[in-house]
Amino acid sequence: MTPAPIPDDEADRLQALQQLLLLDTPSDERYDRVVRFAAEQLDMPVALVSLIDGRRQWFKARLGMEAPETPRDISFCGHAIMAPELFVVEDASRDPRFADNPLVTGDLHLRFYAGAPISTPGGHRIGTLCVIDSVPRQLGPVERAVLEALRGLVNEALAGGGDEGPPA
Amino acid sequence: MTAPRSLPRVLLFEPHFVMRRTIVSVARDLAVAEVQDASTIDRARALLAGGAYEGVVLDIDDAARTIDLLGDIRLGRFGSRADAPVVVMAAELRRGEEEQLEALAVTQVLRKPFKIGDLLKIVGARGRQASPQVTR
Repeated sequence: MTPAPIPDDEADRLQALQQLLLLDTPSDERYDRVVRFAAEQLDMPVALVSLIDGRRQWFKARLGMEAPETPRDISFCGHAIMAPELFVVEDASRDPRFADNPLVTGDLHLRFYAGAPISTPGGHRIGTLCVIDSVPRQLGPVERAVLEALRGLVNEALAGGGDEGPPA
Repeated sequence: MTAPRSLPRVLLFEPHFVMRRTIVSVARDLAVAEVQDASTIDRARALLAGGAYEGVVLDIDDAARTIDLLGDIRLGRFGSRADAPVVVMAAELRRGEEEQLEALAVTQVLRKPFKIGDLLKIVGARGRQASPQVTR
């Protein structure tokens, strides 16, 4: 297993994350409705808004996942925040970075992962909007565009917006 | 050099924030349509009054007001063609509403929840005015 790498801007990134005052806060409909919509549109059993803290990933919103957090070193989202693009693992059991990862070999039985890095207004990638399945998958262009669009809504919420309208 | 293809202008009325914003963004990113969105029926009316649209997508949770708007479109009271394709999105249709929509020549009724890709396929096939059809 390849542990989740540490970005070059880690100290600034963590400071930006702390300044959001989001870690360990109650659920928020702005994020909850995005994960519900992502799971519905992409037919995924798990959808999360994950924040990458120093030693853990903590889920600001979660659907289909009981644990409120997991260790950072085994997190897929920790890999996803290394670049701004969508990070996709189509079959983790066949990927040497993840094949013996406890999220793959354990009860979650993770096979498919797609994570869109989310950013603070200052540009620090502090987590992801991600979807997970227990079977290998591929994402089509519409599904990718949906995930990108929803990432934008999460970024707006992080910046203090995204309040408009009733929950979807 | 090939000129960029002009996208059809589509008006979307959808009160739910996440659904509305996602449709707009995906339609733009995939170059399916230029979607102008309204979160209220009054805003939809204002947009229709101010410009021409080649297609209209309407949520029908508030059926009476949406059907009134659709009737005004069919009467040619806006800048768009009276026979512009109209897609209706509905969680459920009450007794008589399906017949009302059929009478108003709705192109298609999409039952919620639906995949955004399904809506974009319909929007992308602009100009098609098939008989009303309910997708379940």
